[in-house]
Formats: sequence, C-alpha cells, structure tokens
Amino acid sequence: MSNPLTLKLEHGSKLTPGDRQRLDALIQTSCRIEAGQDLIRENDPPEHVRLILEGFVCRYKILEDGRRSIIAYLVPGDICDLHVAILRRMDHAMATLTPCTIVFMAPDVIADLTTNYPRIAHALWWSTLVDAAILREWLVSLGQRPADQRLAHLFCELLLRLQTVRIADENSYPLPLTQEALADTLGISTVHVNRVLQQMREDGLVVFRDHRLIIPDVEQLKEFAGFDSNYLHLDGM
Amino acid sequence: MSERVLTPGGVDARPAWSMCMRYYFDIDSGQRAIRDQIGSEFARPEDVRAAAIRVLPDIARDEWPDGDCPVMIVKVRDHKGSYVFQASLSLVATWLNAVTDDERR
Repeated sequence: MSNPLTLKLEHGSKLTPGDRQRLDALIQTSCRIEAGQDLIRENDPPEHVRLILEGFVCRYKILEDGRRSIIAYLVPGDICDLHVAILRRMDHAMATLTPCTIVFMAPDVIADLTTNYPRIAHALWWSTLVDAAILREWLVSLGQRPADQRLAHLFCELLLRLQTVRIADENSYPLPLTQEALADTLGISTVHVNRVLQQMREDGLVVFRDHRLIIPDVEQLKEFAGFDSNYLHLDGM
Repeated sequence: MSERVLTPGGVDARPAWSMCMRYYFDIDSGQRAIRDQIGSEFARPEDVRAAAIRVLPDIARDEWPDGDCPVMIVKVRDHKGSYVFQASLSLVATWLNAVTDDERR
C-alpha cells in the first residue's frame, strides 16, 4: 500500500527519499477500528496524534438537546491535532464514520519530525493551514449556500481530497457515509438530505453505484456547487 | 449512531434490533416534486410528524416558488405504500395599493 501521508504531504513540500523513508516508518504500526467508535470525547485529555490510513473519521460536537454537528471529515492521509499536547482538554470529539485503520503517535514522534526533518515540518504546517482553510469553506457553505449546493460542494471537495491519496479516480470514489452523517455535516435533516440527493440524481449530477459516488460531469458539478479548489492548496509543489 | 450506508436504491437493511419504521417523504415544493425512494427511519409517529413539518421551512429557505399564493406540500408514505401524513406550507403575498403588477413592471 502506498503511504497516504506521503502522497498528501508531497503537495506541501519537496520531500527527499530520506523524508519518505521516515514517513513510511511512521505507518508500520496501526490499529483497526470499527465504524461508529469514539476515538476521543469532548473534555478528554488528548494523548495522541492520529493519522488516518483507511476510512473516514469525523470531528463532532453534541448539542445540549442531543443533536450532533459534524464539523470536519478526516480521510486517509489526514493527520490531526499535531500540537495536541499543548491543549489540555478536547473541545470536541472524534469518531470513526466507517471502519478505519489509524496510526496513533506520541507527541515526541511529531517533535522528532518537526525538529529533524525540515521539509516534513514545512508540509505539516501546510496541512494544518489547509485544514483551517477547509473549515472556512465549510463555514461559507453552512452560512450561505443552499442545501443542494452545500452537498454538491462537499462531493467536489471529497473528490479532490481522495484523488490526492489515490482513493478517488478521475470522477468517482467510495462514499460509505450514512444519511445521518451527511445530514449532521450539512446542518439539515435526513429527510432534506434525501430530497437533495434524489434531486441531484434526477438531474444527472451524481450517480450512486456499488457504494460509489460517480460524478458523470465533474465540471458541471463544480459549476453547480460554485466550487473553486483554491482553498485545498493542491498546486503548491 | 446508525450503521446504514447509502446505496443506489436507498440504504442497507436496518439492523435486526431496530424498532424503527421507514417512511418516505414525497415533497412538492411548487417548483419541483420529488418522490422519495430512499426513505428515513423513525421510532415514533410524532417524530415522523415533526420531520415532515420541519422539512417544509428548510426547503422553503432555498427554493420558494413564484406567485402570490405558493404552497409547498409534503406527503408521507409508510413502508407499505399508504399515505399516513400530510403537511403544507403556504405563503400569502399581496400589494396593499391598487396598482396592478403589470403597471409596476
């Protein structure tokens, strides 16, 4: 298996063979975790930095009335909370949305990377900035985009993020998310998600087959969503 | 958290322990009617009612039909195909002076 972290970080820095070797050493030991498991809960003291090798993870918060708000997806190659050792308590929770393979790293592993591998350090900064940019774009979606564009925008974003780590091909990828997860991500009800999905399907913008999302005309979907990939900063290297 | 996954025709079969029933929400926004082929699960009839009512203003925010008295309708089918609930949302809009719309344009 190619290392999804390396595939991703190549966009943030010019890595050397030595850098790649170090990144490969990171992923030698990983854990398999079932879907729907909390990795860490709100107010827990964070102990590890996590790297996703397979599957989808989300960041979420639970509101007082029990509703869930999903505020980020982590896909293979995504590394989260690099400087987690600085914060004493988690202000949100993380859970697996699908079965996942995850590497748990102690903070001193990150300290080694950032101290002794300057190009990896640069790429990790890049990935942290991209994470913030994605959050800004989600904020724009939630605040201003209608539900159908919001969903289309998410589909476009996932296409590019999953292409980076060779999970998506030119116009399709496995989408193992439930209606509930999509609803909690877009801030709409499952009934509304269904309507929007079926509307997009009727219009030929998306096709679902064998748990894959197929986008027959990527440019058309991008135009529909008002999607500009600049915030993913994939053209750096 | 649910373990169901989106598939072409809907979602995977619900877990055996689930007491939920699947309901289908056919919604005509006045601009567009879509027959629900995916459905959503609910444990209690009052949750079905609440979901049907909530979706109307949610959709109205994005697609409000033209005209002075548009109506948005949701009809809910149960798993046997019988309609069990209906709700509608209407807007009444009117000018308060005598000028006609044609003159206004």
